[in-house]
Amino acid sequence: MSKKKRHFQTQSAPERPEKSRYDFSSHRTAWMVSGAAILFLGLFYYYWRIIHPEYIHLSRQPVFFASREFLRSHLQMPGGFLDFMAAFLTDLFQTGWLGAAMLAALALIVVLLLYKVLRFGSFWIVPLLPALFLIMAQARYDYPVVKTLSLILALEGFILCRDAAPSRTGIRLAVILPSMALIYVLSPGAAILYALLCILHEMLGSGVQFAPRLGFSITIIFWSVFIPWIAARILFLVPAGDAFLRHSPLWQTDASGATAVSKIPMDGIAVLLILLLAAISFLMKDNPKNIKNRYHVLQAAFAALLIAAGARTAVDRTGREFLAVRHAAHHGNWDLVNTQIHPRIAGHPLGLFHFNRALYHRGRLATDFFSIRQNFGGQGLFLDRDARFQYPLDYSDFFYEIGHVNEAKRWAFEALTLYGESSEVLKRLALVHILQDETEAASRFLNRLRQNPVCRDWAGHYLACLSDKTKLRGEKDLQKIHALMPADNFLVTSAYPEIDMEKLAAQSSVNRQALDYALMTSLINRDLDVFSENLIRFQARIKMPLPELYEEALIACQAFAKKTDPRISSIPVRKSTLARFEDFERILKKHGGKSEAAYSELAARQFKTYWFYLLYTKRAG
Amino acid sequence: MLHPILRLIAAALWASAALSFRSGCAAPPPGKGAAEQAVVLDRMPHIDPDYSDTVIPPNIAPLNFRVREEADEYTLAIQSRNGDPIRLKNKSGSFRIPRKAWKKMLSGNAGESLSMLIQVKKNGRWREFKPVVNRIALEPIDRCLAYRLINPAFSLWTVMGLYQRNLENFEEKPILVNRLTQDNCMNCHNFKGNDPEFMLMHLRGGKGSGTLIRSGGKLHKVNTATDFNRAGAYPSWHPDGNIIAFSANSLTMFFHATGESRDVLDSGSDLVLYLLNENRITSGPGIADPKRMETFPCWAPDGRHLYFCAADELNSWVGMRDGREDLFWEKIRYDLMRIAYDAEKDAWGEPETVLSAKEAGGSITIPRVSPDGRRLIFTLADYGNFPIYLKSADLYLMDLETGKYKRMECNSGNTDSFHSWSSNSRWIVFSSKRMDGLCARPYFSYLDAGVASKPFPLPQEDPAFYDTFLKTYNVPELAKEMVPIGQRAWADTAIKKPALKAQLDTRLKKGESRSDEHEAESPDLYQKAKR
Repeated sequence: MSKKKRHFQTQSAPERPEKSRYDFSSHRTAWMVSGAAILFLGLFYYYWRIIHPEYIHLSRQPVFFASREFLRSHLQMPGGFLDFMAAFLTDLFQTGWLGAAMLAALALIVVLLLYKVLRFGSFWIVPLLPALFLIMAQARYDYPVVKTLSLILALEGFILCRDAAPSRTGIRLAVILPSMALIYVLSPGAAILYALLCILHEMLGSGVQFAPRLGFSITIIFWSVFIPWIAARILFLVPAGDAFLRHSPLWQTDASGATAVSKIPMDGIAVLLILLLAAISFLMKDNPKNIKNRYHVLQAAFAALLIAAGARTAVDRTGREFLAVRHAAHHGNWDLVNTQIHPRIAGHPLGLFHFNRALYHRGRLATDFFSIRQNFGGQGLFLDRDARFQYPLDYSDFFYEIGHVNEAKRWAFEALTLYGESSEVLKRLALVHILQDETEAASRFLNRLRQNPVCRDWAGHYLACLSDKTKLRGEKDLQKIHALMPADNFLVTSAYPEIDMEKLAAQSSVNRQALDYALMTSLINRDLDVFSENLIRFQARIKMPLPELYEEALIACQAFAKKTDPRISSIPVRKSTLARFEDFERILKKHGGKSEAAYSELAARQFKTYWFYLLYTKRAG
Repeated sequence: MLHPILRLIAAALWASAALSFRSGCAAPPPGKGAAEQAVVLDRMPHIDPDYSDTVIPPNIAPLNFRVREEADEYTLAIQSRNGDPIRLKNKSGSFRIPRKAWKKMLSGNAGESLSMLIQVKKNGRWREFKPVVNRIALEPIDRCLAYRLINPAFSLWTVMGLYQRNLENFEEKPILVNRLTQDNCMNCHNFKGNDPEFMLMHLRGGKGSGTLIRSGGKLHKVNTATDFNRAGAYPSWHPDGNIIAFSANSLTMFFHATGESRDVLDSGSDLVLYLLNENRITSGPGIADPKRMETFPCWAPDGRHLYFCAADELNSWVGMRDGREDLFWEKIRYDLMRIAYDAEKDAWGEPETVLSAKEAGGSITIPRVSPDGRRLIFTLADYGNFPIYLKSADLYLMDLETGKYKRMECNSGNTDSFHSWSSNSRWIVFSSKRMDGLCARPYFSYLDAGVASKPFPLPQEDPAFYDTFLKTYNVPELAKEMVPIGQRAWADTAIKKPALKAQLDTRLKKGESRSDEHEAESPDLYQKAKR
């Protein structure tokens, strides 16, 4: 009879209460299966519809290739194999339901393992507590899945060793020490947890004398220091922090490699709780006796409540909205960008940047631009320097759609450095090189993408296009971008992208976005000279009647800036716009020309107008 | 409970094991009947990488390749004058040549030709191509190639490392990777006359910042920045091993709307010497002229001359364009200069122009004198001093006795630059972007009476390696042997030891150098990525 069976028998055999069809104890397996199924379904829904694994994918930009070389590169670090597995799992997150199923399954596995590690018998809610924190941790968009895998490895390793290791201390050590080395190679963080569980179990749960137990524990402590030391100095050559604590819940490593012992995160609390509860459960000589059914019901209700509360607390709403906007913008779901925009999001340069892109794509840039506070001036159109380097792929998206392909390429390469060879980065790099007819370079990225299980077909399609140019001509999206691209070189003005916009607009008669962005930048910069010059220069490109904001700016040119250029006055303006301006002037006049006094009334009636912006919004930046 | 996970792990292990056995392996020769019936074609097969009509060193690793011909079966027979042929057969057309047999064949046939006969079977019929013939040189190449592996660099950096590759096999070992030195930027790896006992590298950013110099079996960390100059780049060792010439540059990156996006402008530069024994930075008016921008120092092997490149100061390139004052960056061109130096007396001669940019018709950069002192290779590009981003960059060979120079035969239509000589002056390695115009790859060429052979790329164990490898090989440098010390020694010196602050020669004054003039407005060329 296995240890597992024996364990369950000792809990349920004595003093079994009278049987009924509602008796939890006599239907343990059925209840466990049902409970697990309910938990899985609940978590699946939670991760799928509330957390959205595709946002985790966007946030983490995982890099995975099904290639020997990629695996080998991972095996050069302790924990590399688990990283490899985690990269594979995380890459599947781009399909939301699949990612949710993975996360739910991982959480469920942890729950079930905790039941085996923490023997609280009928008080089955207790092992659920640490799992709750892990469920919450997994809801974070920056949470690395590898930490859950690491936890699973440690728990499973401990269970195997506890159940299978011989009772004699020496022989037990002979089993535990090599297994710990193996676990270390798979995950240093797991090895530490494994070692701590083994020590706790030995010190608190073993019946042998104190001295052998102490010797056992000291040996494990020595071993758990010795292995990372050897790894850091000889085997793997990694920094000491990584050698000792990689994948540990208390050790955070960001992409730039900086490490820090962070404030205790959710998964850290989970691990601390596991250790605490493990100590208690090892100390308990007897497993708790069976309890009455109503206590099971109470536990179930309490567990549901706890999970619901924890899950609700764990949702990072701002982060979710932010990622939702980025995700929608990256995939061109412009309506979704507009609906997702919230003052919180618009208060961030990147949020506003995507909102303005969405306005353009919905034909509302030159009408509704000031419907939202443009707090960042031109940076709401082009991002500021810091945001560009923080979100290079987003910035690359913008240049790609506007046909400034070299800049799209540049920022995609910055993203390559920042994120690594993630599928979205490689896709962008492949496309820009295809557009520039750099076939060999494009095929490098496509060949690399073919090693990614999710992108294999995508890459195959474009590789086929490269070898058959007629297929490439059938790619309408690419042709559309191609028509926007500049033919003649100019130096990129990174600090003033509106200059590039003018040049792009001048080189491609169909590049309306570049033109609108150039005009809107001069409006937001209050540079009516540049605006009017460009409007006259590109007038033939713009269908009449002009968009409202352009008409309003023309009126502003004449009314405020006192421009008398006949070319300006000859541009027709709709009567409705003139009437609006009369209304604006009337309200202002009503308040004696005092803008402070007229604010409320003008804000209620003219908030979206350029005149209101000119009068009330301070120069940004 | 864990079965799915275990199964997943097992599947991944199985897949990786299966992958490792997929490629071609040695096999007995094809049946005689098949060979007899083969139709002989009047052309060579397409092979990738292109290892045809070239000269190879007698100590080079196997030239594994793929046959780019559609077929069901492939055979390869490699033969030379002496010894048994190597015969391989497979269905993928991807050939990995057995190392021992290859080594034996090359070493036993130095100076002879090497023929690779390829047959393919398609639709049941064998076809035989004209043999791919290469020549095995008599002279070996230095066995170690050192380089930096980085992403095609724009502004950010994260993961990078300096690596060394044993050219006699496929062993690649890191010299130092930046994860051991707090992820800083590392570059400017350099040897004294191909001797790995004398090596330096520069680290930038964070605690490990400084120049790591290994000399006479000792490793030092030095801060070569002084009041006169910023930290040095483009190093060159004097043959006495005590002097290292650096150039101190203020570089700014700018971008183009079409073609190669990246470009670099040097707004000021000077040359300085670092004297190891005295821990002193010195310079001279001939190499730090306020009216000139000097860069790319290179000592002649006898140590009596320092070659370098120089252009007029930045302001002299400013003029009127479209009615506005503008910098004519596309006209900045560097001359090839040299200056006599007496190391014992620390005395400089007068700088002399070896080849002017005007005469050469382009901008001259990266002069490298051959170890025998007879020749000099430089890069010539349309303008500027950052040829790796210029498609026009080509290698030129100058005979130092006659002063005659010519475009080398090993150039391509894409960037060819950053060259390094083998210690016997018969081989060069250089960075070429000919494969895809994107990533620089090391190419090797043999020099016979000043004629360069068709170059071949660094051989890789996996013939498809370059298909998916997205890193660029930066600044390949040849060394006679592998670097004798491990990563840990470099890392410990970088992280644990304080940098020795170089002392400034009392004859030099703060503000005299042009290299720092634009520092405030021009940030470092690359910056660390923060996610």
